[in-house]
Amino acid sequence: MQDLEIVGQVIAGDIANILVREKSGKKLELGDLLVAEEGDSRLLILKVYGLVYGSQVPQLAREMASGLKLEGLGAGLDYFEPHLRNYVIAEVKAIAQVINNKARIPKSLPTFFSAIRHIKKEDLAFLTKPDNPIFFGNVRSGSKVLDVPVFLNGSDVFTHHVLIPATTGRGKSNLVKVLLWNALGSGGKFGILVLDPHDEYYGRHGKGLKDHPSAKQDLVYFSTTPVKAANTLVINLQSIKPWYFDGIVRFTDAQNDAIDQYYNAFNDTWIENVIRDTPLPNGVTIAPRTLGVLRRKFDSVLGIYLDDADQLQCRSKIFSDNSGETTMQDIINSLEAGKIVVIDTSRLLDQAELLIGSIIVGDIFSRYQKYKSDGRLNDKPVISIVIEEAPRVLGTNVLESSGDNIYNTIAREGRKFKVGLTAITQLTSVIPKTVLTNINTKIILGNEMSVERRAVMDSASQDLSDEDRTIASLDKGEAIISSSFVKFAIPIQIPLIDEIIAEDNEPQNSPKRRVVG
Amino acid sequence: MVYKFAHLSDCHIGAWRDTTLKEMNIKAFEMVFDRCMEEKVDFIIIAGDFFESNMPDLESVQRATEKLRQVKDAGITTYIIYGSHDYSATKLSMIHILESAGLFRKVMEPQTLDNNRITLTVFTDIKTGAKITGMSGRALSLEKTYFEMLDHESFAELDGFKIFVFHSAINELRPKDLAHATSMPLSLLPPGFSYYAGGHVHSRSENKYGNGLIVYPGCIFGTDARDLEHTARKEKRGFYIVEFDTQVKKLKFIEMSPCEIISKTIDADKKTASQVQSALDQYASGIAANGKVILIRLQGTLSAGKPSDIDTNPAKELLKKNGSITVNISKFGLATQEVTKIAVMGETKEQIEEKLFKQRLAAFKLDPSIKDLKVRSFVSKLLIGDGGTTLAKDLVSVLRDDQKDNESKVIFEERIVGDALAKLKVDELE
Repeated sequence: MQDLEIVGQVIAGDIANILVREKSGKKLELGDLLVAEEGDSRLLILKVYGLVYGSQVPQLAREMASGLKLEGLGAGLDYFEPHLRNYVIAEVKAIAQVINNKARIPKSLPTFFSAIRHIKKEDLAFLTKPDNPIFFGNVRSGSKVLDVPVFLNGSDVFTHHVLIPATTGRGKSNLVKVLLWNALGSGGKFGILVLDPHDEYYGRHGKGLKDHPSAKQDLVYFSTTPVKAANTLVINLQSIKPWYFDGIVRFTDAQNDAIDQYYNAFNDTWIENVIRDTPLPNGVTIAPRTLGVLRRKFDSVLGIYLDDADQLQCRSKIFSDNSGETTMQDIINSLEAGKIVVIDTSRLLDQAELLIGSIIVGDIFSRYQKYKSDGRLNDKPVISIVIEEAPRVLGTNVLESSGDNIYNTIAREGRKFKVGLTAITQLTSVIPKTVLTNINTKIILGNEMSVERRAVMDSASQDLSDEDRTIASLDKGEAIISSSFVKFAIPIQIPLIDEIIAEDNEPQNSPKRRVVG
Repeated sequence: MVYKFAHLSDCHIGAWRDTTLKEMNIKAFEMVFDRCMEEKVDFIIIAGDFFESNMPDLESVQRATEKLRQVKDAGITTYIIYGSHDYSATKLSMIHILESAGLFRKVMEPQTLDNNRITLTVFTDIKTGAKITGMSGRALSLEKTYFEMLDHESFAELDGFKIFVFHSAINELRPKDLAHATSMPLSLLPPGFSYYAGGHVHSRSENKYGNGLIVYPGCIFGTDARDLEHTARKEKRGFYIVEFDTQVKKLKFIEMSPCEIISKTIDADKKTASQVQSALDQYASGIAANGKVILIRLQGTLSAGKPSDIDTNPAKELLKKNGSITVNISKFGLATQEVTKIAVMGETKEQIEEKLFKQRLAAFKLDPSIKDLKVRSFVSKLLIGDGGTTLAKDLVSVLRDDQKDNESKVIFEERIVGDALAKLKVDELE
């Protein structure tokens, strides 16, 4: 190590809190990645968790010296060799040991008094590009961004679920856009369903996924108000099975019984027959009041009612009795073909949005279960379901009051069937620990709420107990990836989607097409 | 003033190898045109696939021409677009020839705008003032690209009764059995037309779109066993007569059927070949076959025996003896537990072909020794993914073409090789 590179020296501490004296003028930052070279291609990567002052001058003497200066009595007064007497102590922790370019969890302290330097690109050569790579961002040391891209194996990451916890304004949308942008360029390895309650990913009014060079082939967009070439979100009532309401809409036992009777009698047309009050065969009767309540519930959730001419109508135009027969199949086939399907749910009521999600997710999950039993699962792309405000379906109170739902089932069992969740939330603390521990990758953005930071740290794949202050101080676009697929929690800087779009879309002269009639 | 026009599609004249079914198909078309003359419609719209191929057999063409001539003489103009079957990018089509002879008016006339956008010429029907334009179909729904280029704004100022003719399946309106067919989103149709005269989808449907209607009359007879099975299951065949002034006043479906069709599926699941044979023979002996088209499908996985153990000839002969005009017994849906599981299954020959191509192409890898980036890019685009499937299907379609009457062997070979090379787009690489 050259003298110029040295930024500090190990002077004390223990395995959880190593103390490093900062070399004067080197200005270590919270989150900085440092290196202690151990010789023979061995090095320890350290991370700064805290910074405190150190001084050789007793406290009383420092207070007196300060008083003299402040009160104008010691204009020329200064410390003799101040950089030797006053300094900064960095509290660091070893996060990885690298031996012959392979990283492992560190189990020893750096050599006492060893010199410390900033991390360099070469130190991270073990961060190679895996199979099925998804780019997350560049390694960040404090606020400095290194030219070291972080790729994880998308198949592993998506099937074992992803959590994106963050408060508003910390770059959550940008992160999701970057992930989706990179997945779009994967050549069909990932089928990703995005339920987009803010209609922000496609790029209806500006730049977005639609600007990706592969968008035409690999991006499918559904909306109730489609732009040109997009699909209309219309779902045929016959696509809706009774169990899709599980955990989304609460029914009493009597209502569930009525639903079962109508489904058994009319199969796919059960909803229409409930709305039309069609008598059940074989003399089976349902209390008129029960049917009345069911009709009201269908009206409020699906917006379905009978008009004066006895025609079925849907207020939101999402559900229909004569169109959208193949919408579900189109969506699921697209996912299975490794495409990204964005569903604009911005104009839907909350329950309708969750129901549509439940229908699609339920169908794709059961299809993948079948593929597994048929031995065909290996040929299929990984599926990920991006769900915003995840506590709406994974929150403790929802699961307790409305029972299990398909999202919870996928959180528990999805990875066996190559189906995973990408859950986005501001409130990690309301998601049960059983669910959180099943989510193997967490991309942690800044969060000022200590309860939420604690919930994320407690369920992370690495020991993040010392990261509290670091997470609180993460700026927009700065994140930490904690995952069982990385050896240590990697600090990253997520690039801005607008910059990526500009980079990937250099103007080209498209060839003129000849159109013949 | 209220006018009326007829809207039909997918006549597929020249379809069927079975001569009886071929005749039924032409007969259905003649019945439709006769009815149009009886109803004194002001004009006729044919929304694509008038012929089964770009150059159908001359006997079929002669029958069609005769009827087209009759309606023309009756003062009825026929407007038409190409469908996915009767257009060829590389050679002349019969539609073009008949248009040159003044028997109908093709209503797709694209005009290029800037930025790779196009618009379409709007024709005005002299008698009624209706504005008509349209977009022809292409094999494998390649017309979708044209729709993407279409400038919707250029139709915004049109007034009066406006008709848009197209030959494409629409994602949102597709019936379930077309879930795997290529189609395009509804948002690609230019908004603001009073009537969207659809073709390509072989089943009938009426749908609202803005203030207009999207209507598919379905095929008039059908081109394969599946169409006939649908007819047997009460899918009505025929065409629409639409009354209008500035908007649609009345939409009436005219049902036409040249013959009665009976369809039966015999479930072969967990049965032996001899049990299925008995079920088939028993069914054949028990139905009134006189004057009917009989379609029988054997479907399922046999527990013992092979599909080839089932002899369909006795049932066929019996049904013909009992007066059936034609009999079709399909064993495509049969499998057996005795042999290796078949690689792919599908309802139609085309579906099976497509699945096989996809399966084979999935294993295709570009030879790493090819270093030229241009060649790599060209081959990847052509062979990998959907492009490869499309090419394979196109090539099969070219190679399947028969030698025409009066076409010498040398000319036939030249034509096939030329068509195949055009599909391979070799000239682009050069």
